[in-house]
Amino acid sequence: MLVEYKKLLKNKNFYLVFFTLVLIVIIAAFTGVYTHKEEYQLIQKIYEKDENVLSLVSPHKQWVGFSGASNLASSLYYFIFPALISIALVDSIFRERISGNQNYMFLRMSRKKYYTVKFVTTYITAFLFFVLPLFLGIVLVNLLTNQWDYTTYATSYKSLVEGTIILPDNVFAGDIKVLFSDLLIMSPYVYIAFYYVLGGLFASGYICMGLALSMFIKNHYLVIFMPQIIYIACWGLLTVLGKPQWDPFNLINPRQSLEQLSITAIVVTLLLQHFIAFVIYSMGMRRNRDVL
Amino acid sequence: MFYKFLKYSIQDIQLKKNLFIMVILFIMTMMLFAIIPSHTMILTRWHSVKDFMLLFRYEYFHLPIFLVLLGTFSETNDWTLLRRYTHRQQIAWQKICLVFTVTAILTLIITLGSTFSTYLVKLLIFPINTNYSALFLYIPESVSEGSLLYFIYMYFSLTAISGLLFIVLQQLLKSNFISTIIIMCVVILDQMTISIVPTFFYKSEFTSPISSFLMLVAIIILLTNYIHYLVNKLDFYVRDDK
Repeated sequence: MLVEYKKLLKNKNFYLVFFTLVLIVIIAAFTGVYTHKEEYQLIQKIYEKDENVLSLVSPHKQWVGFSGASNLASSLYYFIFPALISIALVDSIFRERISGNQNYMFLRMSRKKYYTVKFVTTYITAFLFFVLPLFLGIVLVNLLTNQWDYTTYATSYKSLVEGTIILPDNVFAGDIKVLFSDLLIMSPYVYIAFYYVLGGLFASGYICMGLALSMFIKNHYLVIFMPQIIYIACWGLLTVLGKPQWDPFNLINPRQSLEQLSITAIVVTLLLQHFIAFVIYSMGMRRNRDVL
Repeated sequence: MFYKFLKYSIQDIQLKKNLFIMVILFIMTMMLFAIIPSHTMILTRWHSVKDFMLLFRYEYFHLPIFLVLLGTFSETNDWTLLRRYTHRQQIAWQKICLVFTVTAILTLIITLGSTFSTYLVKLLIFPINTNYSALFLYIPESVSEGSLLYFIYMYFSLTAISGLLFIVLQQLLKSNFISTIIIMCVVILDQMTISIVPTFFYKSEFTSPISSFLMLVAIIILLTNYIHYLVNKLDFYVRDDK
């Protein structure tokens, strides 16, 4: 395990990918804060300092992922993360097989241990790659708007869900989430942390699927792009088939832009994805048994 | 001379024909599922072949497919290089030729696929089932007519330009996947900000057809020359072979 991390730290793609992800998040945070300021002034002008309305305009809506289509860098992050993360991680087995380093490793440790360590390292690193820049984005938005406490929003949201808040019109009716509304009532932090962890699990699943497929594919370029290809192909096919509620692209989106979302879909898709990744990986292990 | 490069390009494609067949099947499945009246979800309305092609978003569907194909085909190993070429100029010409071949084949497949699906809807599905509803709702009356040939030319040259840019970045950065990601990001950002690509697709036909036609040709010639320059400077001795 330690050896794997030493290898990762010597890989210059590792730093490149991490800084690109952080850069996208920084751009998203700055544009988000700008949008928030404009929106706040506009709402202040329109509703003449109605406190109920103003409490619903909160900077947490500009956290990466929450801001959605209006914030370009945020949607770019959610579109391209499999490709970016896989540049650093997916080809680790592939490169060692091509260069012959794998034979060298098999002399020192058992084959089973080698593959297990690779899988676990890739899984954990992909998860951190997805999640860490996003949490950095939260901190950045909070620093720029100087707001850390979201209890006002949580209480207003609670009364919005219950229908007891007095509002001049129903502009904010779209704010009510279909799923996990309780978490948002508890605190926006809990809600977003849940979604980021969910996204991280999906991201790790994709990257591990790519790692498993790298034992079957001979082309380096294709190996790197496999997670992104699966991600986009799923998105396209499920949209065309009319079942977008089963698509990870929509499931990991904290904005919940679809109406037919359900918890079963999330659980089933996540388990299915990990199961497929695991099966392909063990098939690949068995296939490459006779290296020596 | 160019016959030889065309032959090599087709050879490159033939070496990975499984991937190629899978991509064609994927495109066909997407197009057929989009027109079969099976669900109630409707994204947009369309009328002509051009509309139908553009409904699969250029930046999310056409361009990634093209770049994945091109990147896979352009991974030639060093022994092939040694066997095929004697001059650097030939390597440059072969790269350019590969871009144009892949673009032409992809344009042909997508045009034929969308023409076929469009006629399937116009002649078969719509007359039988008049309250037809699929993902892309077919509307018999046209809103604005545009020339299909001009659109195909635009599609071809914009895709070729992105392919040439890919080759340029590949020479500069020495990495296929990083250059692919850069081009994908640039096109997505362009779609959301300045929108050069949509302008060429939707507007240029009515505002300035001849000048945009010439502009694209000029860009292609410039990029071709630049690739020649880069390949001439290529240093084979200091290469990071992984």
